[in-house]
Amino acid sequence: MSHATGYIPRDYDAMPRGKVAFTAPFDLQPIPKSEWKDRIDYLKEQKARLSDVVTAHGLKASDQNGYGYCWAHGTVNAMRVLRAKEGQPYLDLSATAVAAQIKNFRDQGGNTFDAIPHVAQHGVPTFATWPQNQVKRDLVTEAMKDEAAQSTLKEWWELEPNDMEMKATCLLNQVPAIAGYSHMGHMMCDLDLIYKGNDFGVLTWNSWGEKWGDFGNGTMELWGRKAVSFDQAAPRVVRIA
Amino acid sequence: MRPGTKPMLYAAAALILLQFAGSRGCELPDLIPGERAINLPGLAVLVVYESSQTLPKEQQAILTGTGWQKAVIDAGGNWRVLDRNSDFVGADSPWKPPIDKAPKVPWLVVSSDGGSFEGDLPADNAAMLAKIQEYAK
Repeated sequence: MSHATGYIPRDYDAMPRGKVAFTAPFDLQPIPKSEWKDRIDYLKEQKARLSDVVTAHGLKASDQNGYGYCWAHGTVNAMRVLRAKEGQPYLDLSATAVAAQIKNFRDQGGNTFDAIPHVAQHGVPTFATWPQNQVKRDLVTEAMKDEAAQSTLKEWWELEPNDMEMKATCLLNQVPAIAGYSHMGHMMCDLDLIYKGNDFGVLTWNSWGEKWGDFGNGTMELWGRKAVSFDQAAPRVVRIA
Repeated sequence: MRPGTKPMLYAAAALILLQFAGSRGCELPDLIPGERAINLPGLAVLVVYESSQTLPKEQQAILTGTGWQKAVIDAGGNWRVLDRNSDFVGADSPWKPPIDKAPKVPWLVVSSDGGSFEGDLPADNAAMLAKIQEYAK
């Protein structure tokens, strides 16, 4: 079991809003807070939350295994969830491949906004050509590149920092949100909006392996201010082979 | 004109009108038995939607309706829930033509050995399951 993190908050001076390739402003009409509880309850009753999708499709939590690559795992996990939502065949997508190539094979932290342009342009290979947690230059082969190109994602939403309404709207529309949590130094893939009483939170999918998690399969709840994420993005449409 | 020709001509005209009506996005009756709306064998179900559109909660829940999806799998079929602007690797995906044909979103396409359906997304998961079960036999 590993508890590595690796989230580095985005420097908005160096990387201004609207300037990350393959991202677009969030254009989902915000769902008013007055509707959140009702929609949460309905999705739960219908077993139509993203956490239900993860369970129904047998998706297992990834494991960054000590590498500071949470930011790549969160990004790739969002792709895995979106693929499952769309009914696409399952692929063991390698988050390590994304992180290792971006960071020139160094064990370094990062951000989903580092990963998004790479994923959009080069895609993500599967474990067949890039096993998870293998950081080796000789894995960069033409076969790997060809395979990765089948799994690109060219449209991403850039959410406003700390905007819980935008994130809630994503989750209530069954769109996974990649979320950077400064209080944890960690980036994860949020699945569900949740509530207890008048407090709202998120059920998030961690990358510390399937045996970890308060609620099984790498999931944990974050509440109130701890559910607010600084950097956040959401995938729109995966490539369909 | 030979006997029986006029009725055949009227029937052909009716079929042509039905196809034209379908292409203009009117409420469609079920297609002619044997025609496939999705070029796949057996049961195939496609929901076309717009990811930047929030639906009423009942229809929103259909997009991740694990109940109807399981029913399709149990019937040996395939299903997809795809954005109207999906990015396809090649031009020969069986899911692309019905997406391109969808006159609006959200839209439902059901294709089976016994015929096909193309029309508005049902009101909720129960209605969605009922529609699929009509074709899953």
